[in-house]
Amino acid sequence: MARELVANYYALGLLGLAALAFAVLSLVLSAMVGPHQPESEKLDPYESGMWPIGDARGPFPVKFYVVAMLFMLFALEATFLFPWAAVLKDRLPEWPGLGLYGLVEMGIFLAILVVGYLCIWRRGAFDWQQAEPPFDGAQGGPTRRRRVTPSGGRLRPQVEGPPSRQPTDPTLQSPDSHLGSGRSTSL
Amino acid sequence: MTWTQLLIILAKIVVIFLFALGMVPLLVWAERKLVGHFQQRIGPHRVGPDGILQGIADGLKLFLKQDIIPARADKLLYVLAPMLSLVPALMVLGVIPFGPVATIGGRHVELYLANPNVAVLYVLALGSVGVYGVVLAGWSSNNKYSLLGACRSAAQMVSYEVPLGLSLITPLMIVGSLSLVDIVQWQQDHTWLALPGLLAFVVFMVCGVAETNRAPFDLPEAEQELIAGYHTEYSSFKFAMFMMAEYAHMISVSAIAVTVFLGGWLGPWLPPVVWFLIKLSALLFLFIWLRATFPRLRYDWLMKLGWLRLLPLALVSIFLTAVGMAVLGGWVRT
Repeated sequence: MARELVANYYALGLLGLAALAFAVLSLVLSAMVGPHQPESEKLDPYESGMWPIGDARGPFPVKFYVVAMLFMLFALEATFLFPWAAVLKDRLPEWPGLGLYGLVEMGIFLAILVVGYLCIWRRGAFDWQQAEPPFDGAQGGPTRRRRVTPSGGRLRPQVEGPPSRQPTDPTLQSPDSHLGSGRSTSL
Repeated sequence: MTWTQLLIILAKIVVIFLFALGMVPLLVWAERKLVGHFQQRIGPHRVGPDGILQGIADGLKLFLKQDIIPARADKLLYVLAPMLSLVPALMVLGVIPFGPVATIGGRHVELYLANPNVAVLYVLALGSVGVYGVVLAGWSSNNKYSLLGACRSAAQMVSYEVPLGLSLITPLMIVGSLSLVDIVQWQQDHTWLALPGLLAFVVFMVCGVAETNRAPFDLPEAEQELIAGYHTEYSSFKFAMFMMAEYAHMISVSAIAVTVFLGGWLGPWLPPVVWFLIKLSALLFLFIWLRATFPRLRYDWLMKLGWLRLLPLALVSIFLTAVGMAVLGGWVRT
């Protein structure tokens, strides 16, 4: 029995080695076969064809750390559930499972966890909108920007209207009418 | 271990590799063809009959392309990341039971590489390793799009991993074993686990689509905003490896769903392996169908769906199963 179990892991280890060998070999072969003409433009990070600005490794939203921490908590909980689920039932007459005792015990454990879950829900850990600036619609994107003067008369709406009303040279247009996003003005 | 046993193991590894490396180009072709027809197009039709060799042609082309390592990238991690994606995705296939014990040339051969008693945990663990490949790829490229894509992807994958793991608890409770072969054998004696564990099956499938970063959960590679997400900077065969990893991941998630919920190799008349492949293809078709049908979710909806809908649903499924077992198992005497 024990031998068979160990043989399983030998087999899986061999599969892992084979997969690794395949990955390394194909990468090395491909690098040898392909052409090599490095240029400075080619080696720059791709930013939609513009010159790259600054370094990518800046700060990023702390929200992701919250998700990672929550994952740790719940993954730990799941880790407790797996062995529990495996021994819950009576497998054989001489090998009884946890039965009702196990069910009640896990029920208490999960109840405590659910209290914590509800608590972080109420505290807004799952609210992604909070940390973000208001959605474009709130600031008024170019299509919705129709300011009303105190007298009630409408100003010229800053919408990309028919071409005849707009200056023909695109560089003469107001900057946000052709950039097409309200957020670009706030930068 | 005798030499014949070792030879059998090696032969199985070769078969698994052929299966994975054959399925991936086939799946690429099937996806492009099907999505084409979904959109009233023909899809690929030049290479081979009906374009069936398209995936192989793409792979060959990528293999011969220039391999670029960006000047500001972290070289070691940049090279390591695609391997960290692909190797675990291939290793999962080692525990999938394609069929029961078969007799080949007078020798009894199990149609699976290994049957460890912690197979379900092994699958979940390897799924988690896949996150490293994505995160390291995004970080080491030193590209803003890649980093954004990697952050999104990591948050998404860990968020959906929790309900994914919890949804597997339901069948485990019913069967009382973590071995995939035991799970199929239980289903042979009773019924497909998708019936008692329907809720868990639905949660598992939704999480499976999210875990593989497939549409409608493909925010990490949202072309319109992030170019390609974590693999923007990758070219040549390294890019191909990310693609292969994605498709291999799809295959392994479908294979786990078939094994755990849909009775694995069980079925009448046809040989077991054929049944397994039929069910596998049906689920893979579902993946492609979903992609052709649903628009991409917004990011905050995605996180809400994972944490506020699927996680409670998985817990409810566990609770209902527990109640059912207590009543049906006669643990509660009234």
